[in-house]
This record gives sequence, C-alpha cells and structure tokens, in this order.
Amino acid sequence: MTPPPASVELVRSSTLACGTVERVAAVSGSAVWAADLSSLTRPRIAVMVLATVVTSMWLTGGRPEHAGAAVVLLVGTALVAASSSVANQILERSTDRRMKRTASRPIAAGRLSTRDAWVIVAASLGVGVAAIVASAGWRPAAAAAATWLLYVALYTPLKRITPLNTAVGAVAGALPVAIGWLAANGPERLAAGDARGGLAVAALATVLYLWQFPHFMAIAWLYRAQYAAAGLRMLTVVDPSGLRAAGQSLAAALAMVPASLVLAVPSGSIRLFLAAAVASIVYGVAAARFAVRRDDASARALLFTSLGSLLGLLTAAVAFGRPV
Amino acid sequence: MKPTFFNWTHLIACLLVAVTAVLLSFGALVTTYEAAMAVPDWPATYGHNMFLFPLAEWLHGPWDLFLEHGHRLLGALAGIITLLLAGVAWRSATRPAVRWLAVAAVALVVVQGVLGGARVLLDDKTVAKVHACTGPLFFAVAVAVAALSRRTSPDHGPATRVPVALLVASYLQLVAGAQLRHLDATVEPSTFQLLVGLHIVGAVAVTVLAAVAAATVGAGGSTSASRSTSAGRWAKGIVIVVGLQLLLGVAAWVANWGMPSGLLPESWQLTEPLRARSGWNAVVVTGHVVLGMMILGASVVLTIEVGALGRSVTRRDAADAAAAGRAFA
Repeated sequence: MTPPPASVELVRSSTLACGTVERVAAVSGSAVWAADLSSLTRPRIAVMVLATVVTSMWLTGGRPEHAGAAVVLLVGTALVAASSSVANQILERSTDRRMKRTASRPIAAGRLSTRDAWVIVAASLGVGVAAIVASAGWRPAAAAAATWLLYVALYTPLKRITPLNTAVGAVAGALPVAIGWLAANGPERLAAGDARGGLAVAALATVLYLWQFPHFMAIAWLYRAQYAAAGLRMLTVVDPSGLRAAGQSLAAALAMVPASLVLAVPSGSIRLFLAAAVASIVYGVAAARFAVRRDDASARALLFTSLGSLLGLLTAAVAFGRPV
Repeated sequence: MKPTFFNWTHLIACLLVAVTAVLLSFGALVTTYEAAMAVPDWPATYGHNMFLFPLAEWLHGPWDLFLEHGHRLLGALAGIITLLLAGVAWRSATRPAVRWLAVAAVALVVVQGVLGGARVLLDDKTVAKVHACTGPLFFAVAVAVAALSRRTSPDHGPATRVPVALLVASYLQLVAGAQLRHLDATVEPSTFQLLVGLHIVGAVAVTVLAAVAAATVGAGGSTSASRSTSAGRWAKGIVIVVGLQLLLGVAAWVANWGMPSGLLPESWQLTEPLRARSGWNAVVVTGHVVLGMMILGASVVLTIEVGALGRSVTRRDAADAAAAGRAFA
C-alpha cells in the first residue's frame, strides 16, 4: 500500500515539532489507510457473499461437521471476493475517476499503484482459492474462481459495452450459492436421493439472481448522471427515462415472489413461507412504486427495501428453512 | 403508433382476466375436493397429450378427473392468451408499465405451470401452497394490465396510500389462507392456532383498510360528482364484498371443521378429513377463496384508479409513450 494522502503528509511535515499534532496526523493516516482498505475490498459486499455461502451450506447440509474447516472456507471466500473487488477497481480506474461516488477510491485517486494492486489481487485470489481447496476441496474452489472470472473478466468490461451487464453480473452475484452447496457435498446428497437441499439451493440462487435487478436498477437510477459521465452503459444511461430499468425491476420483483416461496418447499416450514411472502411482496410493492414514479425518492426506498427484504429472507431461511 | 378502432391490449387483457378467474375457481375446487392427484402424470394426462385426452372421458369421467384436467386445460389456455397479450402489448401498448407487466405475466404463467406440474410429480403440499399463492399474483398482474391499458385515464382521487396497503393485506390474506387450505395432517395445534390467528388479524386489517379506502376515496371531494367517481365506486364495492367475505369466512370454518372453540375446532383431530368435500360445504369453502381473489383484483384496480403508487403517473403518460418509442426501438 502506498503512503497516506498528501494532505496528511503535509500536516505531518509542517508540525513535526509538535508531538500532539504528530499523533493526530498518525491517527488520521491510519484512518485513511483503513478507509482505503475498506474501499478497496468492499467488505459489505463480501459480507453479503459470505451470508449467501453460509445460507447455502445450511440449507444443503445443516450444521457443518467441522466448524474450523467452515471458517477457513469463509475466510477463503472473503479473500476471493476482496480480490475481485480490487481487480474491478483496477480495470475501472479511469471511469472511477470520472464519477464523484468513486473518484476517491485508492487506485482511481492514485494512492495505490496499479502494480501494487495487481499484487494484492493475485495474493488474495491465490490464498483464497488455496484456503477453499484445503478446507472444502477443489469443487467449491472452482466455483469461487468461476465467480471471480465472471465478475472481473466479463461483467466489468461489459459495463462499458452493453446494458445487459446487469444480467451477467447477477449470475456472478448468485454463484456463491454454488460454493456453499458444493462445500456441503450437495452433489453427493443429490446422488443419494436427497433432492431437498438441492431444491432449496436452486430456489436461493434464483431469488438472488432476481433480487439483484431491482437493487442495481435503483443504484443505476440514483447515479445515472455519474454513470453517463463515466461512459458506462447502464440501462438508466441508455434509456434516461428509466422505463426499461423500472420495467426490469418490476418484472424481476414479481417473479421473485414465487421463487422466494419455493424456498420453503424443502423444509415445509410455514414460518419461512410466510416470511418469504411478506419480504418478497414488500419488495414487489417498492419495485412497482419505482416503476410508476421513477424518481430519486422511490429509487432510494427500493434500494433500502432490497437490503431489508434480502436480510429478512436469508435470516428466515437459516432460522426455519433447514430441510427435514 | 396510430390508434386502432379496437384497443386490442385491453380486450385481450380482459379476456385473460376472465379466463384466469375461471381457472382459479377450478383450482380452488381442485383443492376443496383434494383432486390434485386425480391425474398422476404431468404434462401428459394418463399418457395422453393433454390436449388430445378423450373429451368423453373428461366430461363423463370421475368428478376429480373433470376438475384436475379442466384446470390444466384452462391453465394452458391462460398461458396462450398471456403470450398473445405480451406480443400485442409489446407492439401497441402506449404505457410502458403495461408492456413490462405483460412480460411479468409471461414469467409468472410459466412458473405457475411448472409449479402445477411439480405439485403433481412431487405430491408435495408446500409446492401446492406456492402454486396457490402464485395464481392470485398472476391474476393481480392480469387485472393490472387490463386496468392500465384502458384508453381513459384513471380518476385520480385524493392522495392516499390506503389502497396499496389494502392490496398488500388482501394478498397476504390469500397467503395465510393457502396455509389453512393445504394443511398437513401432522400440523401441531399451536401452528394451526397461529395460522388462524394470522388469518383473523388479516381479515380485520382488510376490513378496516377497505372501510378507510371507501371513506377517503369515496368521499374524496366536496362535490357530489367526486363521490361518484369510478375509484369511489370500486372502494364501496370492495367494502360490500369484504362484508360478504367475512360471513363466508365464518361459514367456511364451520363447513371445514365444525363449530369453533377459540382458535381451534370443537373437536381437534389432526387426522380427521375435511368435511367440505360435498354439496354446499364445497361451495362455501371454494367461494371464500374465489371471493378473496376478487377482493385482490378489485384492490389492484382501486390502487391504479387513485394512482396510489405514483401520483405523477397520468401526467407522465404522454412523455412515457414518447420515451417508450425510443427506449424500446
């Protein structure tokens, strides 16, 4: 990682004689470093990926036999997710500079060199995949690597080419489900006649795929001006009226209702069924409101609703959805 | 696009609503008579192509077979009409929401068909519940397409979100009702009580929301003209139907389980078959389900009439139509 930004350096050098200010500057430097690390690795996305993997494992095989191996698997998955995030920022550094939302990211702002960033990408990807192989075998590691490839090598460049990028990126968003399923020996269970875990995981993957359309369309609407300035062909840039984005959101949210309900089929849990109905219907109403209004307020509401509904759905799936 | 004499999108959507209403009624009867497994294979019917199953066997065969096969044929018909609707809407609908709702309808009808097949092949009650909840959702979308594709603009009564709340509550009531309709014989009494409690709370919520909607939408202005708006009439109609539905709900309980004792039937026997599979009992129980779907459909229309999801929808219609021409080109 390169040194802290120039402003911190300036404070440090001009107040060298003053110990108190020096300590403040050092603290600021650490804070900036931590902020940069967070901006680079985007831990909130990693947490969502991990939540997906945990839910998938739980629905497939219940409590893992070896807790330590499961923890190593999650650490490895988090590293792969972080690696993909850094790689994405390397490839998008020029467009990031043109957007207010992303201009201060460490690579775009020049605080981290591209070469150093590639080292971080390679190291975290290598260690992450190795950790997954060691803890759960090569199949979940292959799924993690495929997710990385899809996100970095396909989705990221597609953002400049076609608004279909969301449909491709949503696959990468749903693929971590496969990591959990493979780690919990899903194929063996399926071959042994236990189809319920597979059905639950298939439903979860479908839910996650569909869930991303309203979520990302809301983001694409809120930052449409910045995306346009950066030359990214998001749907809200190609169609500034927002009609296509709103339409895709609505269609996906409505299709998500039955997919969410299917989550309850393997367990037969009435509680999960009801929770899934509430979460998906509330999401559907938020998407319908955005489809009709197409303004910032409804997009923001849709964005927050998306997070709440997914959190509720995953929590309910873990609490009540273990197949019997 | 040049306006045509017939508003084909609206006409086809209305046809779809009518067919779906009959389809859902057949589906409700299938559940009432526990006829879902009357045809054990899918998509074939006793080895025949569904559409080539002998007519005489269907019409003069067992009642269970008549219901289940009829339900399948109606489902196929609804699917065909939905595809036609999507094609026509994509070409000619002026409101973009209509196009996308038609696309959503195609997705839902395909999912619903697969769920129906899975329900038979897996013989699974939870799949049956999902099937029972997706049907009304599809119906609601069909109604929305029909309401939005009218040439006349909505009335736009006073700004209120009550119709949206009523719409959500009436759908969740159907979800809770589906749990009670597809009860597993092994269900615990406490779970049964929970479901009944939820259904009763939902009934209270729907009743209150319908009354508030009628009061706010129906009396939205100071002039008598505004009271007789289309939205006001829909709101008042919903109140009447909800009142009838409450009576049917009590009757459905008695028809299914006998007299109530708190939140449980008087004699709670988990393995006792439902008593609703005959005569008037079946009519009452099925009617309760069908009326619930009608309340949902009417709530969709009311929500659209008052523009509760977005007051600016009408003002944007012209701009939308122009933008849609560009966006979908």
